[in-house]
Amino acid sequence: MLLNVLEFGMSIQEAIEAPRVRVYRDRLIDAESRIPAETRSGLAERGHNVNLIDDWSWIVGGGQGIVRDPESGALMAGADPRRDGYALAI
Amino acid sequence: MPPHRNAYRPSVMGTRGVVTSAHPLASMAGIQMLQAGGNAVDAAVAVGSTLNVVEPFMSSAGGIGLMLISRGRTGERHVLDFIGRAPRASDPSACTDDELAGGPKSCATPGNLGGWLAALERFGSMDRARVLAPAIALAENGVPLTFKNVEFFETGSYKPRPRCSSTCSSSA
Repeated sequence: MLLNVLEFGMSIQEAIEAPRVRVYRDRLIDAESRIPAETRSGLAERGHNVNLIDDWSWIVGGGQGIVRDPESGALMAGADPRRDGYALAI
Repeated sequence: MPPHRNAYRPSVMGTRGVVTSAHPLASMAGIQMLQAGGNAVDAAVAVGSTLNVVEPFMSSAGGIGLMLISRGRTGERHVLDFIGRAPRASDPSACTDDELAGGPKSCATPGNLGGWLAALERFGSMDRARVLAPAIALAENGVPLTFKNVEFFETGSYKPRPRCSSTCSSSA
């Protein structure tokens, strides 16, 4: 999620909603099925044990985040729809 | 295409303050503190304690946590580490991988309640009773269950705790 914001120019909400994986011990990875098949097979080729889960799955965790725009000072918050996450602002 | 560029929800924006958490009522508890003149630590503790009531299978006073605090004016930074310790007699080398992944042998001692109260005392601006009030009110009056709540209650091993309200009240 952090890299989605810092490296890929996503908004905080886009970064949270983007498909994710959960990494377990050893090389076990749970991957949301929105992740393209070629990406998943690329991971498998690198030695990861990729387990396919739902397109939107609470298994990958619930992410929340806040970004402050340095120029305007405006605050932007995102919350994870995979669980009951919700952001509010004043 | 999703309606908000690549997201199904908008980023929620404000100029005075924002709160985001794993449940709308917990985020609202944080907003209530900010609107009453509280600082970010007051809001964070209100959020954490409310999650204990509205999302108890994932967040609770019996859990563990970390708090990173950055003071705007001075740039001072503090980390509160309230990750509970393992019991003294526990021995991870005597446990199987499955036992360490979940269950009684994998538990640390609770840290959240102590962490919240320490954070309030050192960095908060409001008293305990005020910051814990939203959690206590929800625990006493009941909380509407979301689909996710029901899913976790039905499929998980979580058992509701009828004494939740008195735990919060005695902390306040």
